[in-house]
Amino acid sequence: MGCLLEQGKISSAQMGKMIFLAVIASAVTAVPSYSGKYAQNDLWLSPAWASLTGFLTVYAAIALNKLYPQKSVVEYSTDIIGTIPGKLFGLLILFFYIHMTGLIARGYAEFIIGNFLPQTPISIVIITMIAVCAYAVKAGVESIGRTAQLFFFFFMFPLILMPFLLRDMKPDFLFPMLEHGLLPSLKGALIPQGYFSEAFLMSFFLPFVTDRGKGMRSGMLTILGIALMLTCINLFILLVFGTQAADYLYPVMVAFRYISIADFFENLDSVVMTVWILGMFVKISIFYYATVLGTSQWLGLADYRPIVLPIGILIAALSFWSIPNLNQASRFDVISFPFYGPLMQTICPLLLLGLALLRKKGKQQSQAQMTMAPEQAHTHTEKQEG
Amino acid sequence: MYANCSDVVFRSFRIGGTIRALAIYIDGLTNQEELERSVLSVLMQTKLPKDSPLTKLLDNLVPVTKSREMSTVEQCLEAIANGNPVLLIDQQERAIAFGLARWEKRQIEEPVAEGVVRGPREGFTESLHVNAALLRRQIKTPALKMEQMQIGGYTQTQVVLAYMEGIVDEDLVAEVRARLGRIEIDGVLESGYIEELIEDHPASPFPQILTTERPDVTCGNLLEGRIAILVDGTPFVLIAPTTLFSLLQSSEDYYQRSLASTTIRWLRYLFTAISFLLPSLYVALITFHHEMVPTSLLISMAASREAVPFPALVEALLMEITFEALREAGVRLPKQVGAAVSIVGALVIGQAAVQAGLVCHRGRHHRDCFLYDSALYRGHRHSPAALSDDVSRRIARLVGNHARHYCDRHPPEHDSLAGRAVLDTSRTDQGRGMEGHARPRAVVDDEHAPSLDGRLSKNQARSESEARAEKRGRSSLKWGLVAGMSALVCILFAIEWPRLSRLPRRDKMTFIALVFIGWVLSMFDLPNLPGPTTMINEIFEPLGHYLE
Repeated sequence: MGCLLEQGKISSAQMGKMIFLAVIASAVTAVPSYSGKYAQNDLWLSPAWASLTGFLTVYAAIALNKLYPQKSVVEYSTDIIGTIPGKLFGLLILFFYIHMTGLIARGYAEFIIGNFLPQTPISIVIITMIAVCAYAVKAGVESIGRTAQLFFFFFMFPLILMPFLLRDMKPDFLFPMLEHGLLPSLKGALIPQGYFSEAFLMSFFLPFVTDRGKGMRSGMLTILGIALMLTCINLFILLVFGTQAADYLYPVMVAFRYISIADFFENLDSVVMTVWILGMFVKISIFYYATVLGTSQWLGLADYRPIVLPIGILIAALSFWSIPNLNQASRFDVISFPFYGPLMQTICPLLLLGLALLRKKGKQQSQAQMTMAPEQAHTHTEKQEG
Repeated sequence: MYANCSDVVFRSFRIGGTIRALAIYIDGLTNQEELERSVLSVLMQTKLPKDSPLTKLLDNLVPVTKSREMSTVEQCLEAIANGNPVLLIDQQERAIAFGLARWEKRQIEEPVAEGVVRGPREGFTESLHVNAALLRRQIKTPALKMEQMQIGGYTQTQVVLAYMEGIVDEDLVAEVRARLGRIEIDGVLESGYIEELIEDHPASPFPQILTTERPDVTCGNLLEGRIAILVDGTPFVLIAPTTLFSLLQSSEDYYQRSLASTTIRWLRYLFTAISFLLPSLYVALITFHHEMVPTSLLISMAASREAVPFPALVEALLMEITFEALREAGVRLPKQVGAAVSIVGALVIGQAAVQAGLVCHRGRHHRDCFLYDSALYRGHRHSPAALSDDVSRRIARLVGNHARHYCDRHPPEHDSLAGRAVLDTSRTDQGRGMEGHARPRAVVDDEHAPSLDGRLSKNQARSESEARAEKRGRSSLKWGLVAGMSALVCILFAIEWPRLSRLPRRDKMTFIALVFIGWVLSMFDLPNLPGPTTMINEIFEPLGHYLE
C-alpha cells in the first residue's frame, strides 16, 4: 500500500538527517530553558537521560518495520491488534500527528513573532510556513529527504559559532555537580524525552528507505547525535548563563546575541534564526507528510496529494484552536507533551511490538501444533487401542 | 523545382562524348574544384560502352569516397540542399549524389562565453559535422552513439542526439527521442528553439537544460550519463537533464586538484547566493534592521544617505534598472560605440547620479556587487545558460526586493536611520545587559496586572463604547474571514479537481470532507474555544502537577 501511494525512495542517511532535524529543530531553542527549570546546573546531563527514550523509540520503530517491511504504523496496527482496534489506534496516532503539527507551527510562529517580527499578525507567519511545507509535502518524500540532507549542514553552522562565546563562559557555573543527586537532572530530562520520542516518525519513512539494513545504525546514530548536540548546547548555555538559563524563553537566541567577532559580526542571532527556520521547515514538513500519508493509508486512498492542502487548513486551524496566547502554548509543552508524546510514540509502539512478537510466536506454536497434532492424535488412538 | 534560384548550377555534359548527363549543385556549398577534377573531367574523358550499369560507373571511374545512389526526387533535393552535387544520366533510373559538400565555415576557436585558465581551448563551431567530430575525437569508443534527425519544416535542420550507450539511462534516451520527434516547427535556427520545445516547464524563467560551447564539458556530461543534443548552425550544445548545481559547475573544477576546486566551488555557491540576495538585503538592512549594521558603518551610511530623496527600495530599483540598461546596451551596441557608452554610463552618469543625490555612495556597494555579478557570470560560470539564468535570477531578485519591503514594518520612530543609529549607540554604550525575553507570565502577574485594572475602572465608560465599536469591527472581520475562507475553498477545488476527478470516489469524499471541516472550523473563534489541546491538557494535568 505504502509503495503504491509514494513512489519516492530515500536512503537511510537521509532518513537519519530528517529525524535529526525533526527532533532537534524545536528542541534546540526551548530545551535549555525547560531543562534548566528542573535540573538547575545539572541541565547538561538531562539530554543523556532523555536519549534513552529516543533509543527505545528507534528500536521499536525498526523492530516493527522488520516485521512489516512495507507498512507504516497506521497499516500494521490493524494487522497486530485487529481491524477495529487497529483503526482506532491509527486514528489516535493521526490525531496526535495533525495536532502536533499544528502546535509545532504555532510554536514556530510564536518564536518568530516574539523575536523578530513583532508587528506581523501571527496567522501570516503560520500560513506562509504551512503553504511552503505543503509544497514540499506535495513533492513527496524524496524531496523532503534531500532538503533535510542539504539543510542538515546549515544546521551545524551555529555549532561553529559557539567557540566565540568562550570568553563569556564561566566554568564555575558547572559546580556543584549533582548537588541534589540525580533526581533534578532526571526531572529535567522529562521534557526533552518528549522531543526524542518524535523519532518514531521514522516508522512512516522506513518503508521508503532503500538500504533498510543500515536503518538501525543510522537511527541510533541520529539519536546519539541529537543527544550530543543537545548536551553541547545545554552545556554552553549553562556556562554562559548559569542557572539563569531557565529564566529566558529562548536562551540560545539570547546567547548568540552576545557573540561579537571583531566588532563586525554582531547580532548573529538572526543568522541562527535563519538556520533554525530551515530546520523548522523540515520538521513541519515531516510531521505534515506523516499526517497526510497516514491519513491516506488509514482511509485507503489512491493518492495522497489531493488531501495535502485540506489537511494544511486543518493544521492551521489546530494551531489556533484553544491557544489564545504563548502561555497556553508553552503550558501544553510543559504539562502534556512530556507524557503525551512518549505515550503515543514510544509506549504504544513498544506495546504493539510486544503484541506482534507474541502473535508471531503464537502463530509459530500453532503451526507447530498443527504439524504435531496428527501425530498426537495417532499416539492417542494407539494408547486407546492399547 | 529550382526555378528562380540563381545559386543553383545546372551543368550538362556528355559522358565519354556520347551519353547525356546533368550535374546539379548549389554554388558555394560544393567543392567545385574537386567536382571538376574527379567527376566531370574523368567522366568526360572516359570511353564508356553504351548502357553499362550505374554501379560500374561508381566503382570504376569516380574517385569520390562518399557517393550514394538516389532513386527519388526528394532524396535528390535533400542531397542538393546539403551541398552534395547530384548527377543525372540519360536513360538511367537512378541518380548519383557525391559527398562533395564544402562551404565556408568558421575555424575552431576558443569559446567566447566560457573561458578557462587551464583546459582545452577549442570550442564548438556552427558546423554540426565538426562538432560531432570534436566529440568523437575525445571519446573514441563505439559506445558513443549519435542519432541524427531533421527538425524544422523549412530549414530541415540536422539535429544529433548523442549519448553513451551503457552509461545513459535508456528511458531517458527514449524520452528525449520522443520529445524531439514531437516537435513541429517551421525552422530551427538555434538550439534555444529545441530547448524551449523539449523542457519540462516551458513557462518557468529558469533554465532546465544546460547549454555549453565546450566539447570537454559535453564529453564530461556524456560520460556522466547525460545526453547531448547538437544542432546544426549553432555552437551551443544542449545537455539534459540538468540540476542547479551542474549549472554552477565549471569544467575547470575537474582539471584542478580537488581541494582547490572544492573551495572555489563553495565560494561560487556563496557568491551566487550573495549576488542573488545582496540588493534585497541592502534594502532590508537600510530600511528596517539597522541594528544589523556595525554602528560606525551605519553612521557613515546615514550621512551619505542624507542627501538621497528616495527610500532605499527606490534607490535599489533604480540601480538595478540602470545596470540592466547599461548591460543591455553593452551587449547590443556596436563595438565602436560600446566602449564609449560603458565609460559614459558607468563613470560619468554614475558619478553624476551620486553627486545629484539620486543614489548614495553606498550605491557603490551595489555597483560592486553588480560588477561581481557580471564577473562571476563571465568568468566562472562556464555556461551560456548564464544569460537566460541570469535574467531569470534577476527577475527573482527584483521580486525579492519588493517582498522584503512589505514583509515587516517596524514602528515609524524606528524608521529614521539617524535616530536608529543613535538608539543603537546608546544601547551598545549601556553595555551588553541582559536583554533577553523574560517569561511574559511573570511580567503580567507581578507588575502590570494591578495598574491595568486601575486604568480599566477609570476609563470604563470609554472602554465600553470602544468595545462596541470593536465588536462591530470584529463582526465585519468575521464576514471577511468567511468570504476569504470560501474563496480559498473555491481555489482549492479549482486547483485539485483536475487531478481529483480521475481518482476513486473515496478520495473525492475525503477531500470534500476535509475541506468542509476546515471551512467550518475557521468560522469559530478558535483561540478561545476549548479544543483538543484543552482536552489533552486536562488528561495529563495531574501528571504535570506531580512533576512540580
